[in-house]
Amino acid sequence: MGLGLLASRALRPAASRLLRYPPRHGLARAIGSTPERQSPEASAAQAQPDPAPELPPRKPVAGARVHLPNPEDAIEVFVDGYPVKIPKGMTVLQACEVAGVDIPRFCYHNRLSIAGNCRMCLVEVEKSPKPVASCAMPALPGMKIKTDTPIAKKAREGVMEFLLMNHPLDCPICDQGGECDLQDQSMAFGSDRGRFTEVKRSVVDKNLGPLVKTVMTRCIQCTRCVRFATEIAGVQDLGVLGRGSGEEIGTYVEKLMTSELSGNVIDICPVGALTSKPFAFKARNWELKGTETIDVTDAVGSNIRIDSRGPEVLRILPRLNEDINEEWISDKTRFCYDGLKRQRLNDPMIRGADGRFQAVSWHDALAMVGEVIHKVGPEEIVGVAGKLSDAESMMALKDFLNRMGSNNVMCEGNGKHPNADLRSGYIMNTGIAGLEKADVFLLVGTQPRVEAAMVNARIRKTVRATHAKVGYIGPPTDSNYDHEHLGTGPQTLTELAEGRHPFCSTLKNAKNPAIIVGAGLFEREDSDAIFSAIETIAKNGNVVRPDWNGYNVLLLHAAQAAALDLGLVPQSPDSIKSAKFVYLMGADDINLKDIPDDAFVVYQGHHGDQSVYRANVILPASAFSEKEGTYENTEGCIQQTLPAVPTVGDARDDWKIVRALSEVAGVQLPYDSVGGIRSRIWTVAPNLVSVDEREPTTFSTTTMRPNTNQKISPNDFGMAVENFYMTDAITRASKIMAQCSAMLLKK
Amino acid sequence: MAWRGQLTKNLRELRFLFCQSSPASSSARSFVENNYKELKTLNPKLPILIRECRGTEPQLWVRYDFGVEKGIRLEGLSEEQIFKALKEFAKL
Amino acid sequence: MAAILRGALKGIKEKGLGNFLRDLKEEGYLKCLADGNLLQTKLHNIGATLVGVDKFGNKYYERLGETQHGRHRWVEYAEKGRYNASQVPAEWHGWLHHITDHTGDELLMLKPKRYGAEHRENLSGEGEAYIYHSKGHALNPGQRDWTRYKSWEPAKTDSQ
Repeated sequence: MGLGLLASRALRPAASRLLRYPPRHGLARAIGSTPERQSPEASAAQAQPDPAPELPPRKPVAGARVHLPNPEDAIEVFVDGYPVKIPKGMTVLQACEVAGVDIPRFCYHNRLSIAGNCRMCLVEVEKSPKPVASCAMPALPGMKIKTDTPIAKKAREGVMEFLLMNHPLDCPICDQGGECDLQDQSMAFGSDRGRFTEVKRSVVDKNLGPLVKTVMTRCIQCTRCVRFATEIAGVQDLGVLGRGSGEEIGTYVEKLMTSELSGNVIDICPVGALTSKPFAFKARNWELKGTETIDVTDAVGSNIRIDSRGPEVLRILPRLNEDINEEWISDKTRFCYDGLKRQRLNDPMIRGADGRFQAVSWHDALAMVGEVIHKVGPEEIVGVAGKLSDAESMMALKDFLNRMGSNNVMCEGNGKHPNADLRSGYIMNTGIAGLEKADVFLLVGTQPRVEAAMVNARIRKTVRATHAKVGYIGPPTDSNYDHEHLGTGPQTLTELAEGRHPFCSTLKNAKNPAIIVGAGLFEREDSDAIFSAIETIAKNGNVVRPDWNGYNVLLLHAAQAAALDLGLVPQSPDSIKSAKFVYLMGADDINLKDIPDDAFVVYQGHHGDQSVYRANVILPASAFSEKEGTYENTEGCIQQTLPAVPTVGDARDDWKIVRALSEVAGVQLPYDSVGGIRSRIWTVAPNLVSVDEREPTTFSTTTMRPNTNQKISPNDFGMAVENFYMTDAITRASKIMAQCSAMLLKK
Repeated sequence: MAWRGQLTKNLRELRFLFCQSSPASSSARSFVENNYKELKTLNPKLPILIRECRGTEPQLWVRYDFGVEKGIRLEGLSEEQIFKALKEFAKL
Repeated sequence: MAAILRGALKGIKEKGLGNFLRDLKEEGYLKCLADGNLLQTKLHNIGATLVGVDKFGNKYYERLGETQHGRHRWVEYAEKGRYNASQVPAEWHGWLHHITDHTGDELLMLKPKRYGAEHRENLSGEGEAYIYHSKGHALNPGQRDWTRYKSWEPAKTDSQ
């Protein structure tokens, strides 16, 4: 990212920041006369030397906090004369960051291994014959580091000159212009002229797929992408070929980058060598307005920044959140935005007698729904919330349908008999960041790579760092870490529960075992039996303890956790089959054949995906990028989306539609503002109101759930997500996702 | 205590809200710990939602048909008192 | 003066009075009464040589000799009523404005056959049908829809 702060700090003259004189007393003075001259006592007082100028306190770069694990073990080093305490093992570059000095770098990234090949981070260290690469040199106690001496500056200018020698003059046509590290650092640290008069080399472009655009001539061979692909994505696709000026980064064979984290190399590349193909030539970064929101394509709730220009979303970038997604987002999150432009519902529509839809006004559409809903009995009304619904709209829907007498409000994906009683039964109790402390993982019926790519990245990080063991029960999949495929179905579960399986001993000997259960198991008929088997395993393996609760459920959709928190549990499981009035709030993945032919279906959503074809009335709602909604991710952290672009056409917010409908239907909901809904949510599930907080659970299902007599069926576990790229209404409408699923899925 | 198995006759949903650690919620926490399993076994179809959040006052909410809800504060109530309140709610 | 009279009489004798008067009208002599420029051009044409005619019908005259310099080359437009300078095509423009001595017939040979466009006069202010408006302009009858999303169109096969 740009080093604007760095540039301004470098350009400001050094002297102005150091010394501040104590303020003088005596406001009105005669011109030419000073207090010393006026009286001999004053001049004597002034004659004492000023106290040694204090160095102004320095804050670490970007306001980061330094964590000293053992305060006695801290080393002291001097950065530009300023003493700073750092933990042992930190590099010189990190020590300078703590001291508030940002050192320019290209190949160093704080989440990747150290390469030390760009040489831009050279600083002068006393008693060293040549400048040292600060990213690779460990800081020794008492080191005196100097970052603003002529040697360091000359080194930076020289490195910059070398890098620019073979770099093409592509700035006007390069997408990275405006946010290019090379541009920023050459302005801040480079010299004003070059001496290169030869012919520049050029490199042939590599085809990495429909997502990453490569212009390899611009590559400065920092190898960040290579290290990212090997370490974090787990695919060894990219490598460095050749030597010297003939070095090329590529896949060597004609291979596309199929990893689900492949889009992150776009962020990582400091120059315009790897850029986003769908975003190519669309906009410059200074035209875009960034809005910080949350992603809803899966249950992880990655923090994103939506860059928009006017009414359209042009790209999605990740935001830093150490607990959930660090700095990465999956490809689906990053590139689903063009689905927000296609197949949008923008006007209320009513299906006429001839079966064709006609656009009507809101007044007419709501009046019609209000009329029909009174003609059916209370037990024939069913409401289904969709995968992308936010908590406010689900609360409004539940309240409205409850007031109409119906108790059958459910959410997609939670199965027919959701157990919403104990929160620990449906969220990740360790938290996503807490997975790093686990040393044994048992994955039951879940493929985190396609269900929640960021959770998978975290598991991989743990496996790589601590060689944690992973056991997996489910259909054969490939994953980017070593795992033991224990079995494919419930038989393995029963074996584990009874202690017959060899993996039981691994679980028992583990210090922090973690069991991750997939939400795909909710849909099974024998879900109660399966969960009680898992709870037995958890009890036997000492997975749930007062200090560590390793029982995790990995949810599939963004709305599931909030739906279960709000209590969207249907009274009768097969209520849809006998319903006369079905209210689908964005529900596109229910089995439409279950709805009887004479039922009146209202579809409230933002895309014309699948359920619209069965609907009788269409009410257009706003998508996640256009509304302020509360979402709970799979670990129970409550986050809010913010509107980045205005709503499309005549669409409104979901909860506002339900509120208006309730008024038309005569059962007016008692709230009519966001604050009102939040107060109502506070009486139902108070944890949904504390944004950016994660509430730990008190009671675990292992001890509290009543026993069940259900028998486990022998059906093997299936894959909950068939196509990673097309999982919900937005991704199914997106052209980029269609291209990806055609080209990048493993056949 | 036969009424404990008849809760679904009138109630549609039961909610316990409390704080995880504050002393005011300790009676609510112990009530849930001791009696949830039994109540759920007797009423398997009734959603008994346990919702904890730091700083929340302990409350018991019940929902009847047509969205009518009633709630009381559980601060300082003993287990029998909570059972009595529940029984009253279930009668209506 | 006498030559004009003699030419007129000759014309009447050859074509007949009615045709002669009709020819006069077509040539624009009737408009001369209201348009002084056209009258002056017609007067200037006396004794001038017709250098060429372009494909629109504009006639190009030249009178060297005692004529004042600058008035020795001129054009008489085909459109006697609404004429304007942009009706002169490119090949005659150079000759007319004393830039070159090559007349339009010669310069027409140099016009590129593959991509040379037809000359159009400047239609500014001539009416909405002739003025160019971009696809987003409010006055463009075929204005494009610039909304940045595509609304949902139900697929042709109706399902219940």
